[in-house]
Amino acid sequence: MPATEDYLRPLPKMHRWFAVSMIVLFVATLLMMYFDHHDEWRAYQHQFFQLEADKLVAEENAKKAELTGATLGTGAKAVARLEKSYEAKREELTRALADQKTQLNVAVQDLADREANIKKLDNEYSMQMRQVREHRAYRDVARANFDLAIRDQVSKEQAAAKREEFDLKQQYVAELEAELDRRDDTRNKATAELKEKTKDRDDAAAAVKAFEADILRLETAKDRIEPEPNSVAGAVRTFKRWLMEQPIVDGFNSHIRIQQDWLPDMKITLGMAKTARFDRCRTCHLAIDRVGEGNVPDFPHGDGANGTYDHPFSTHPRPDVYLTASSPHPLNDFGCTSCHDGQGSGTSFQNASHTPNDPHQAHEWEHDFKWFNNHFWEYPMQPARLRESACLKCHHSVVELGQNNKFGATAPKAYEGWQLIKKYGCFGCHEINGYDAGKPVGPDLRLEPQTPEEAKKIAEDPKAVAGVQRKVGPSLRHIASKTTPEWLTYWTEEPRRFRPTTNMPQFFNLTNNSDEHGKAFTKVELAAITHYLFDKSAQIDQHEEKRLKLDSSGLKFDASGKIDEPEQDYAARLKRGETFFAQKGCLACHSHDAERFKNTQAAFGPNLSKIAAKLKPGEAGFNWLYTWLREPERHHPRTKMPNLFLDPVKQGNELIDPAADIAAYLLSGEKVKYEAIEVSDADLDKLVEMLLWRRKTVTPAQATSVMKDRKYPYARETVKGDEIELVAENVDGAFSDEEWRKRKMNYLGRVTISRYGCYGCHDIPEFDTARPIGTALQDWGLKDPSRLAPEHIEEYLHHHGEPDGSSTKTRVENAIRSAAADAFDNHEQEEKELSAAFFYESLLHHGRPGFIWQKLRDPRSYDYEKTETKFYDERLRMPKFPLNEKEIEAISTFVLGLVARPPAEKYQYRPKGPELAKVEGEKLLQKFNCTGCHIIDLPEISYANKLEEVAASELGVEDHTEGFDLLMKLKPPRKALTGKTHVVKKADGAETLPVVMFKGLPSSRPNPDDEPEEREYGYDLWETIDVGGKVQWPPQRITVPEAQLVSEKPARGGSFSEWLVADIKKGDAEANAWQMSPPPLYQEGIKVQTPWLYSFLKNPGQLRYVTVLRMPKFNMSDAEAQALANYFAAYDGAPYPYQIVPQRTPEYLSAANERYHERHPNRPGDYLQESWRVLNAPICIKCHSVAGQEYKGADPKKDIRGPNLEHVAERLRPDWLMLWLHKPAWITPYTSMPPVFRKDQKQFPPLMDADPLDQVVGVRDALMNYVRLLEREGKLPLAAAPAPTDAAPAKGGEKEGGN
Amino acid sequence: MNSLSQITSCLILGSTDPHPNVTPSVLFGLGWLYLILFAMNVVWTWRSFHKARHFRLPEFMGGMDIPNAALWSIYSIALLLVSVTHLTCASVPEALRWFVMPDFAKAAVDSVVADARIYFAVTTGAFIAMLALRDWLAKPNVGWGILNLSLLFLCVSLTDWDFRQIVGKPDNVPIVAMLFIVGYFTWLYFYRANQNDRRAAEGKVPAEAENNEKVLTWPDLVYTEMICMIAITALLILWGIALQAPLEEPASAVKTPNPSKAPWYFLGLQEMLVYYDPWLAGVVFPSVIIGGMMAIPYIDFNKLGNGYYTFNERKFAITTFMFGFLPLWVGMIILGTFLRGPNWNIFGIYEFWDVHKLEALNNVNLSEYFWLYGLGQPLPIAPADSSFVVKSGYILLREAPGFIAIGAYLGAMPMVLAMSVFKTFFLRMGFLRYMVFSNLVLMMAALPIKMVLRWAVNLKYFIAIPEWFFNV
Repeated sequence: MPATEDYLRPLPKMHRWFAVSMIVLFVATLLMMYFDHHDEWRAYQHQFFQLEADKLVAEENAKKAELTGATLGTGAKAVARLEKSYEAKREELTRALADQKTQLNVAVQDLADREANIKKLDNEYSMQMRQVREHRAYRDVARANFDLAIRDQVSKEQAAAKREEFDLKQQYVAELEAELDRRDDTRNKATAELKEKTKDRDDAAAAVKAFEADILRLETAKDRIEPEPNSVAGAVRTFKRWLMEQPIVDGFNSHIRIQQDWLPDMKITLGMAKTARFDRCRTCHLAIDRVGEGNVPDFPHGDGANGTYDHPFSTHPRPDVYLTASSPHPLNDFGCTSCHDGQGSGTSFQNASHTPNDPHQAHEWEHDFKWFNNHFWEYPMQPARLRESACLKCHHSVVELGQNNKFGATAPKAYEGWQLIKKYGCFGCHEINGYDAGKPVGPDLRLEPQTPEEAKKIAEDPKAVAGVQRKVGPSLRHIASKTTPEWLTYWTEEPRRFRPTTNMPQFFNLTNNSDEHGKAFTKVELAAITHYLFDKSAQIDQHEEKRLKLDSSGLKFDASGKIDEPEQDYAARLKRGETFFAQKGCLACHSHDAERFKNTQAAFGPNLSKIAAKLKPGEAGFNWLYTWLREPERHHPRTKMPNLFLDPVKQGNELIDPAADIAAYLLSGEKVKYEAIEVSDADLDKLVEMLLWRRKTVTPAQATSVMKDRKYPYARETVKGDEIELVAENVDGAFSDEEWRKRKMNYLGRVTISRYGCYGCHDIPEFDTARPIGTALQDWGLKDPSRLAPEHIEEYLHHHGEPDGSSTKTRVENAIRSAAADAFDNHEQEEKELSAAFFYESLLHHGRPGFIWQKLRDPRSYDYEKTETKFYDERLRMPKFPLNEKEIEAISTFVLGLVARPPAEKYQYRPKGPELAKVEGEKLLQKFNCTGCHIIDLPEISYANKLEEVAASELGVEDHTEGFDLLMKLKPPRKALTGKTHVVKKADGAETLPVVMFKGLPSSRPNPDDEPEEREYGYDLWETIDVGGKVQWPPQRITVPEAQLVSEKPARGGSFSEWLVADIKKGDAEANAWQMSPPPLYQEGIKVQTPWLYSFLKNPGQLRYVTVLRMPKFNMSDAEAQALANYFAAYDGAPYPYQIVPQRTPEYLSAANERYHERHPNRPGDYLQESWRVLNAPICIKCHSVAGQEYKGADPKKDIRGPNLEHVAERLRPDWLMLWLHKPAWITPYTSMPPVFRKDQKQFPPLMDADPLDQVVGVRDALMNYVRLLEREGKLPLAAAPAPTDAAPAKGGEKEGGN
Repeated sequence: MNSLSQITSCLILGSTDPHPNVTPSVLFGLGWLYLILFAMNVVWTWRSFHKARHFRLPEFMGGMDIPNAALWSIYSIALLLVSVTHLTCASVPEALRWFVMPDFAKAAVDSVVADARIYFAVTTGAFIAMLALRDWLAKPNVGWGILNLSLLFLCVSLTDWDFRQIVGKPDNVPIVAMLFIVGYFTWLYFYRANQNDRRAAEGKVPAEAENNEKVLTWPDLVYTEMICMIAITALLILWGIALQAPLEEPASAVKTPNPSKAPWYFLGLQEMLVYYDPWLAGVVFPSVIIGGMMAIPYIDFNKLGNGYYTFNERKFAITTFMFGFLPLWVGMIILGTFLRGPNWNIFGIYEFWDVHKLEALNNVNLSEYFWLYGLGQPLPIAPADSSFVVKSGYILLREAPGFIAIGAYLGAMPMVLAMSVFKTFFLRMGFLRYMVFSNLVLMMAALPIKMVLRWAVNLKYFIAIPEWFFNV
């Protein structure tokens, strides 16, 4: 049928459908635009502009209050009042101006004439200027013409003509210029006259302007953000601002826009590609880098009240460290996500991949921001509790994150994790390799080479970097000479049962080996480990052939020597042993439960209270300990225990052997007999047989026959693994019962040691080349969570999980409930419980943080209901460490920061020079526990005080101003005002006072019986400080009433010396306790010469005679000693590693000689000779041995024997020595050494004509040329008696020092 | 934990259950869904009322006529009540316990769908039942009833966390829609075909032939198309606003998603990869499918059914096509989308996608069946230093059973069929056309055959020559 004109559907209906569909499409398009425009960040930007405007208004009001002296209240009324007083003040000023104007008009009648005249003069001047310019141009043409003529070598006449023309023009210009100057002068005079007349009016006008300036500035700034439509211009601006916020228009440089930081070099790895990083975080975090003067945040973070701002409107904390251009992490280079992670390109709360800090916060975010866990983004933001892990991407040396004299501890948690890993030796099983093909990728924690061959191989490979960590446990190579098998088994089973403070983890009696099978096999394993260790244990003198000392690395791989014993019939004395134990430095590393040592907390070495129960009974144990004390390296070449120089000394007729006394004291404790563990032969056979075939060396059938025939099926040469223990040297015949049992035990012991990785911490025979057994951790922070095996952990934590056996799930649910109800007792409790909730929640979602948390809490719990389907040797083996949850969080923070994805090299913290020396030195301070004895940095005391009550120090009559200048040079005053204030409550009301911080040692504590207002703390100032213009220097006693004390930050290190001082004083209150103890190493860098310090560390000779102990000799390599020596210099900003001593150069000496003859024309000899005589004058000898003469202390109580002077030239830096000679108490307040060459005394005439200043310098130079002078001048006859002197007695310094 | 205790536990503040089955917001959303269902049924009731059809109650119930509209209105009111209950009691889930999928029902459904054998048997059975019951199914009230049942099933199932994860994933939403769309068009086909078949039985011409008046390109075609275009554009925009693009992690060769799924329209192909080697499933079969479809007009000798709906006149063609399209294509897409989970294991629709779920993959080649199990001797292996020809000979010998089986299937089977079920086809088509046709049919059948063999006897390959990368 042909088509007709009739349509299938009526057209009007079609049109209606068309209209409807178009409307739907239009609405859809509008909706699309609406949703596209309706971004979260726009709201934040609007809100921020509002906040900023409010802030400006607040600032404006504050300014107004400041200007008018009105009070700054809150509320509309107060603002109106303020406005009123401001307007009043302004009107007052304006009125004054108007008055001045009127007065001026009245007073100076011809004002208008004068102004008209100035105008006219101005005009004339500018007309003249025009003329000058015009004719200067003509003159320049003439000069150029002349130059061209010369170039063209025209005739002389022609050149002369050109020259003449120029001269003419120049002359005319000069005339015009003179006229110009005259007119300028006239005009200036007229102006000045007028100014003179109008001065009052102008001043008034300036006052008005100054009054309004800040307000105007703030108003303009506010108007820019939030214009008021109260004028035409304002209305236009408001409209413009509104318009610029509209869709489409806002694409044209609107103020509402995405803030983007482009970081082309800070790459991000996305799937397979590395690409530039784009961070749009600042789109919402608009104030993040807004910092005011002095690095003070403009928008300080807080809850939004009292001038603080909540996220996302607050400024980043610590602008000195982050974001600012002067900080180490400028925003333009580092962006945001390089540290915080998250999706930098995201512009909504959700897309940015924020991560809540705990499930309670997660619930809040779900509600407030529609937050959900987007597992597709590989780098979600770290939750606040793990934030510091990001630092490790660049800070591979870690130590600067916790010990930093510039910024303080910036990442204490990651640092603590690092410390804990070093403490517990996690790297024994889990390699943390900070290098990838020689390139640093993260923190490096690896064991040092274990064999000479390995050390050599690494040394020869330019790309290989050797590990530096020592095994954390003692060597077990010679265990049989130390303890009994029974004790060892008892210990291994549960180390904390014997010593609750031990770091050794627990392998046995845990959740996955407490079943029947586990209990039976555990016993066998324990016995086997002991059997193996004792069977393989060697005498310490049996390793001669393997002794080796690598010269450069200083690694020593085996022990040597023999067991020592004290002299025959030596009667050790317990009481003396106790005192030696207290005083020889043992307590710097060890603790002891005895009453006298109760206050010592050192945990670097083990607690020694129960040593008697541990060591072999009788003489064997005693001799072992004696040898250990005398020379620890004999037993264990890599021990950190130093050689304490406990050599026997003869005192009168009596021989005193401190090591023997200490050993006797330590072994006087309770002796315990431990029972041997009973091993069932059936269990032993069962386990050995299973291990044989499970380890795939033989088939199950073969294993059965091995057990039956007592014969291993393969020849000894072909056996590579632990089965070697079962193979006889020759294959003939089977083993005897006894031998076969021994073989089985050794085999099982060996397998067990390698299964549990005991050799990760201990040096064990035959395990030199064994590799770590655990997962490497260097990139664990990015480990694919699907490769973690949570097993039945969720079920385990549902029903168990807490130390008391209760459910972790219940605990977490309670925590979330309490958080929602705000029902926690205190913040600490809340933090602890929510931390557990965070990790638990993470574990439920198979997250890395949760996994590691539970792994550290209860490593074997992952075997919950898994042991049923596993072979015994498949059970998890990680031991349980004595960690609390806070420590676990710290370790997790560290491990989660190990991502092995370092940014470009320029972003990594690769310190050089002094910074590197500081980092390396810090590590060594910790490695050798230098801080156990020495104070490295003094206590910092903050107290509030009225500035007018601070008394500046004054020079004494004995002080040379030259010496004082040197003091100011070596110890320039540090600004002591912290800028903070503290409210001091007193009986007559509270007072807000500025806070002053200084470094010093406490000298007296308040008597608790005193009335609170009478309690006072006393401190000895140790540094030079400037308190608001008043300079204070040591020796100065600062007394702080209790109410004014703000804080006392304890010293860094030296808790042993503090304890020792107290202990000595208990025995003898008058003793120079501080001088008898290890000296503080405060500002050691400016004191000693680096090369000397290096050699001293390597081989410490006796320096001081007054100390009760000696600096021990550490088991330290050359490189380590160098690094440590450099550290002190670097820390104090002194030059290193080499120092020039100018006082030894011929130039200096000849100049000094000349000067000497000039000043002392009648003195014989040369300068050095005279100086030598001064040094040998009867003063130094009172305390020091000088120039071959023994010291002659008159009163041993007062005249303390000082260090021999022969070392001074090599040991001390000249400037420091000079200062010391001037006044020792300036440096060390407690010293006994008095100022010797006092300004107010003339001593030892005729030497240097008794000029004390020349004598000081002379003695310094003589000391610096000591050896040369001793050779040249030799021993001088001792002066008959000390010259009469009024100098303060030797005790003087002590008095000031206040000990 | 059963559903009910989960209902209550999810409401306890501080619950740490990461996969709550019901939450107040889910129940509230369901309330809206039931309300929509109610509105749909109000319209249907209204339609029934106007159609004024009745059905007769059985004699023992009184045997009286009841208007259809009465039933639908009761049902609608029930829906309204359910909806209101959900909307008002969303935070008191104990009140809604009857509308939550019970655990035994979940277990029953999962045991059916999570076993490929049962799944395939059920889909095939449903396919046969659909053909057999087509008259009844094509009734509007039955169709509407099925739609309601499926929507109710969806609603009740949404109370399960795992089900929500699969169905609610933005990628999967169109597949859910596709189920209903395919269902609707299948129903529409049968509705129309039944009408025409009835007319043919009555001796009338097809409905399409009665009204074959021609219409104008403009406005009847182009104008309509344009309106559709605009409407679809608007729909896509609204969809884009409502369901954001499901952005996942950046692509990485070292870490692929588990499961890695092809786009939904390729999931049928991906499913074939489970049973056949990539060269077959990815290259040969798709080519054969396209080529075969192109060949249909030349193979088809049935002149009936042109330009109108019918089933009876083209039973074989339509059954074959529908079998290829519904169970073998759409069914595979559903399987791939909703049932294939991590490690490409099959999961029930209420089952948690646990990566630790393992399935034994002890597949055995035909040659191994023949030599190892059948003859009890090792596979023929060429001596180590033999030449290529000898090696090839051994390989061919080893795989001879497979070659024979395939040869018989593609070579002898058509002959057998020609003599039996396809006798008339062979006679009417001639040899060449018949061979093309029968081979196409056999290739299509190869997929279900291999699937069944895989499930039944763990058959891996008919021919397995990994040395040449040739596996069938």
